[in-house]
Amino acid sequence: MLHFLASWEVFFQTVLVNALLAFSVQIALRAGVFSLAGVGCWAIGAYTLSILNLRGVNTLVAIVAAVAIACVVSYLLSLVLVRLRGLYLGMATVAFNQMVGVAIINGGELTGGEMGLYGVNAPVTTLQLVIVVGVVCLMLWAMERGVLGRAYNIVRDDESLAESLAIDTGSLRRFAFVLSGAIGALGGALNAMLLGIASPTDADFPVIVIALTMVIVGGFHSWRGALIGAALILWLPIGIQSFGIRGMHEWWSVVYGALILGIAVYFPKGLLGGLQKLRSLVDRRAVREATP
Amino acid sequence: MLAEQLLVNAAVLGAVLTLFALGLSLTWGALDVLNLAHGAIFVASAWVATRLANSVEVPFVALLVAGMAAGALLAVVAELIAFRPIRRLISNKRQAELSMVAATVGFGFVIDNLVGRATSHQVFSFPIGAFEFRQYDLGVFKAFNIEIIIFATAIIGALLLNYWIMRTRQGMAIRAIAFSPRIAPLLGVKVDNMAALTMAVSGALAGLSGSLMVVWTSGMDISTGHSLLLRAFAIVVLGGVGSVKGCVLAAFLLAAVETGIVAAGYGSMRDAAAFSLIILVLLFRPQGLFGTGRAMRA
Amino acid sequence: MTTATAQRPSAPEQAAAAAAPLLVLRDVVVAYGAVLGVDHVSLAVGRGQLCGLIGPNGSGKSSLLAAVSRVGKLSGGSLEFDGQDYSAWSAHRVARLGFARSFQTVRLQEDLTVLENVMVGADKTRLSGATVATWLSSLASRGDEAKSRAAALEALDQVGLADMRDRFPTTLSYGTQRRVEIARCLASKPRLLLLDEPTAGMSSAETDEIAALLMRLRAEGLTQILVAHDLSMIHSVTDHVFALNFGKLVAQGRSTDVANDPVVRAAYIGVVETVEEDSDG
Repeated sequence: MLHFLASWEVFFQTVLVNALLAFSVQIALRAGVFSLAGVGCWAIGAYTLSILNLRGVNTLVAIVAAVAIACVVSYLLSLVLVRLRGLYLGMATVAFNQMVGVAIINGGELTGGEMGLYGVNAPVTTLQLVIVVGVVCLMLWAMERGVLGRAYNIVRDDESLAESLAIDTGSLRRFAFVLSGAIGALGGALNAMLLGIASPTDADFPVIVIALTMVIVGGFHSWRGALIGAALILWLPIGIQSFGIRGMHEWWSVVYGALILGIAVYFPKGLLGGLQKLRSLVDRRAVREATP
Repeated sequence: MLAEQLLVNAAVLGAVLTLFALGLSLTWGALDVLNLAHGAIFVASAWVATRLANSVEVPFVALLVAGMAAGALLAVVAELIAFRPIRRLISNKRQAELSMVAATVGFGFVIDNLVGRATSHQVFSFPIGAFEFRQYDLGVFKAFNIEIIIFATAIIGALLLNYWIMRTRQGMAIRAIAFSPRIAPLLGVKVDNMAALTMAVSGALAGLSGSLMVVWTSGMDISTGHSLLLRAFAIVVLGGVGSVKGCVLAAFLLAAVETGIVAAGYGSMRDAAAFSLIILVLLFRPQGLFGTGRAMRA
Repeated sequence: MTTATAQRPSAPEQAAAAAAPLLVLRDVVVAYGAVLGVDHVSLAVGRGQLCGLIGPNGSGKSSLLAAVSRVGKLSGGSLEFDGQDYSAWSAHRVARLGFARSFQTVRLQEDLTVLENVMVGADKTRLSGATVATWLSSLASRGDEAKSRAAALEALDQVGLADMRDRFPTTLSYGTQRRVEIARCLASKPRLLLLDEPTAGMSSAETDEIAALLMRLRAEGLTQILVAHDLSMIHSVTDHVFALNFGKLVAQGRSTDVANDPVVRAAYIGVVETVEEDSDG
């Protein structure tokens, strides 16, 4: 039993940390801001923490620094990219992520170049991770309710309508952008603490793909979707392998890609959205049966 | 390296990028579709050409045709399983964009992994001896026959594509769809068929550029596709979505800049050229050099 | 300017202020490249007036409305609300002045209930600039949420849809959805209501109800601008009508006068009957 828990603990920790990555993308998408810059900030967070830790800086201070730097960078980036929307914004943030990667590789001694940084010694317990992620979830939950929740809903779907309803869309979008960077950096920092390393692949294309996938599969309208998506995507390779169908585990990547494709097309709001659709279908059925 | 040879390198790189980026620009301009699997299709087509060359003795042209066919096929599959259903099912533009990105990423991931499995995740290259390299001395510089072929193919390809779009009925239909996807059907344009055709041409372009590139370089793998995709995006954004001449110009410009950076000894920063270009263009001239100004839809 | 005690405006000054128009447009231009969607339009809307804005398709009505609410662009001219020039203001700032508008197409949030949709209108009185401040204050004051809710329910009552409050917009008829939109406008307690074809797609019974609602609002002193194609509704409801054609203001006045204006009738090709005045005025 303890052995079972022990092996699942690593998985659990991974899910928690990656949930933050998913949150960083989700919170931007939820505001209608197609930004994947959270991934670049994940790398910034990982490296800031690692660099500071290797120089003996207190862990908490290092985490705060990582988040703070990401906030500043995100804010500046949001100003630079203010007029962009949709795909263009998305690709610009991908370009930003790649540039972070290039900066890391060319950072010489400071960033360890292609090799990255090793020997980060800042252990973190599962409980601490649960608390951190819990607090972030709480914050996101609060942002999905009441005035702000409704406002973000409209900013996401219909900007000019939002403006006509006295909603400062620019301010809300910037806020989402910066928060996305902050959460991404937090995740990256915790990840570096968990693994003990920071690597240039932290800003790579696959990370971007994974982050996007988690949010698409789970559903980007709510933090719950991102959490579900993170858990599911991380579990999938294990799940497929454990099913043990002959040769099946070799094809997990194909299943993975097909899953993303299928959900993106047929469940655009993710699994969570699928549940909501069900709920409104029930509502409609009830109405139809109620009206004569 | 001599400056003249650098010029040749840049010209050939630019040619490959031109063909590849034209494919991306075509679907983006005509169908509002950003096919992020375009790079994977490129690599897969190159692999098909390589396999064919390894198996049978066929004229070089046949290999190119095979590559184009493979590319076209994969692109049409993407149309059928991703873009068409998205057109039908998702009306919200933002939502559609997001789904399209995710779907093509997924599709590309599948293709990448299939190719990876087939190549044991190793770099694959064109079999030695399958192509007879010959170098010509053109006075100012020396060029290999393959380099001349690639350059000529790109120029001819661009001209043909431009002619097709501008002067044929099909091209007109495609432009109608690009202008207004909702009105076009009312004018008798069969959107689904045109979409499939456009994707096929786009895929063929990816296949062509892939097949040519795999001969020219010492080998490629999946990451080649990713790298090319981002550069193609930079090119299309710089040139202006849907503009053939913009694409051509931007492709050669980027090739020149990249070649210069590598020659100056900053090889590890090569990719930064594309990324910087993307951000700069989107900031200062989002419609690109020759774009129609549909850059930002708020 | 006196710095000591603020002087109460005298009675004549107050009367003059009350008589001053609420909305003044001077030489407003909206250009789309070389084409002028709105071509140097100047007009004034008096307080408490219910004005109609008519014109054939493409005459610039929606462009004008968009420019006035600053949601659309303004290429030239000036806009003044209650004496305040707001030509350079952003749309959300203008909305806070007391503008509420509906659009030609229904724009409701599918994943919010009717009540929540209308609450967004009421929310507008609480959202301030900085997001963080808003967020913290919304966490702190539970009472505000109740106030929004109450204002929303009141607005739904006004349009007669209080019993639909927990339904989702996609389950409602088009006409009902439009009424929800109007409720959303009303929930913000606006000073100027801009309605773009509010009764399009409604049954005649619903149209009459809306017309009655607009009259009630006018009686309560709300200033309104109504864009509509339904000339009989315009005739029965409005005090003053502005007619546009090709972006220019071609006629204004009482609805019957405008409808009978030869320039206006030429613009609306096919209007055959003369609109008669009701015998009871």
